[in-house]
Amino acid sequence: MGYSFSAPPLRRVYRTLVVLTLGGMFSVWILYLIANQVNHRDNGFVRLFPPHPVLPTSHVLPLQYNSYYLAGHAGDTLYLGNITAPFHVVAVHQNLVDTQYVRIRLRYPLERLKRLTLSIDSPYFYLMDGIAPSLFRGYIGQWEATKFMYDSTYFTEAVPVGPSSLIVRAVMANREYALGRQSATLPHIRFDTTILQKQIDGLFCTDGILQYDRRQHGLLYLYHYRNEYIRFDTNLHVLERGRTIDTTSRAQIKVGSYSKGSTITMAAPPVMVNYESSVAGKYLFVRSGLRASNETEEMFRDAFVIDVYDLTLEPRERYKFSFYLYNHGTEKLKSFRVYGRTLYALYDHYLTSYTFNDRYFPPGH
Amino acid sequence: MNRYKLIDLAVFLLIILFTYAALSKLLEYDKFTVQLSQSPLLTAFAGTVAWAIPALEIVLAVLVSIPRMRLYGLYGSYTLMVIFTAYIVAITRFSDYVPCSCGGVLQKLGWTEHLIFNLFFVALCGIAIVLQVHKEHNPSPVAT
Repeated sequence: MGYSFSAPPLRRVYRTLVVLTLGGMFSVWILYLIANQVNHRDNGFVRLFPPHPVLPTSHVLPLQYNSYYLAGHAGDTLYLGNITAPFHVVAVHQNLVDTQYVRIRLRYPLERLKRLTLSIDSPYFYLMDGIAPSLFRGYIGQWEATKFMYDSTYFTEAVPVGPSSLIVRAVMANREYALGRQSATLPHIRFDTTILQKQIDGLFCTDGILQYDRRQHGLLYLYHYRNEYIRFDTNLHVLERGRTIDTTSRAQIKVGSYSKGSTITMAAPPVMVNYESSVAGKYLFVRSGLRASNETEEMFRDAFVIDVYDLTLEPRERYKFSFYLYNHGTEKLKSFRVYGRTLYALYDHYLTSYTFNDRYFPPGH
Repeated sequence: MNRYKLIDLAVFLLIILFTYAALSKLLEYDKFTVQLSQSPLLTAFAGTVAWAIPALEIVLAVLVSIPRMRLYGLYGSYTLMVIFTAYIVAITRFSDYVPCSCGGVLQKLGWTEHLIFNLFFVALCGIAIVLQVHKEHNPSPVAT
């Protein structure tokens, strides 16, 4: 061949290719910088970090599957449900050493069930499916589930609050979320559309976490996208509306739709204020998504921050302090719950626990 | 085999890729716009990018199919594929959730497969550019 691949015109081509490659990468890098600035600004509030408010325990329980979730607690045993295998339960002693695998028996046509979730409320365990919809219940230890009450209402969240009543969250005909009480007696279902307050669309903007604290017989709903929680009783009476320490009082989300409105979705990455929460006695634990002014971005990459509130205090004095739950190896925290004086942290393939430090959580509550 | 045949193969694959990608985006334009705006990197520019990308893909498909414009088309395709590749790397590192805005069957690819797919096209464009210049400076047919 008479013409070499290293002749001057081709050398110019190689140079051009290098320039184009760098240019392409540079333009994405610029995009990255712009987005980074928007997504990771600090939020104009300050957290307190006392030394070691919670102490890690020595045991780590390895988990074979990443489909486990924290289903509840009874006595000194923690129960893990499994999203993909809804009848498979792991009972873990609080020392995280003794584990027992349980299989729930249910005589019911499985093809009618869509998404069963397990919830523990001693002495019962509940299997609930808000899409089917179906409710089953059985005794912990016997693990035999049966239908037990009215279950014809669709729901997106449900917590058992008594032997035959549930607090549910469901999508109303106007496509907005509302909280309701479902019971075995008539009227079986009653919704109160005033508890969750619409800011933007009434669906995404009111999304949040519904939790029941059995000892206080109180419910708490914490919004995902604004700094607010609602405490109410099992009769849906609002006791108070409180605020978390950050400054996002209005949900920062954008909602869009396509396919002529039949699919509604987020039209921008939402600003997640509160990922999840856990109520234990007088304490409220909140996993926050917002960085405070006195935190570094590195910290926020390597750990999740948990804010602790004392719900018995005056609203302005409730925030106590914060601590970090670090990534376990490369895995980020998936979920956490506090039962008694133990905090359980679930990762894709690990379960770890922490105990309260008496200095910051005085015993006797 | 004549190594310049590789140029024709690259051009052929690029025309199919870009036409398919552009049409599948335009056919589901609403959905594409929403998906783009969900991307942490593109939220602010979703409206522009939503029509600019398919338009660019069509222009590039046309350019590479016109022999006189082929080299420009190849340079453009190369750069676009580099940008797509860099975008994939950036977005997988950027956030916990990764929205996909690719049309049609490309949506079914995982992120690693997608990366390999894109790198293949980057390499293909690069080789085609070198061969094209080689050919333009060496008009007599060369058999190897």
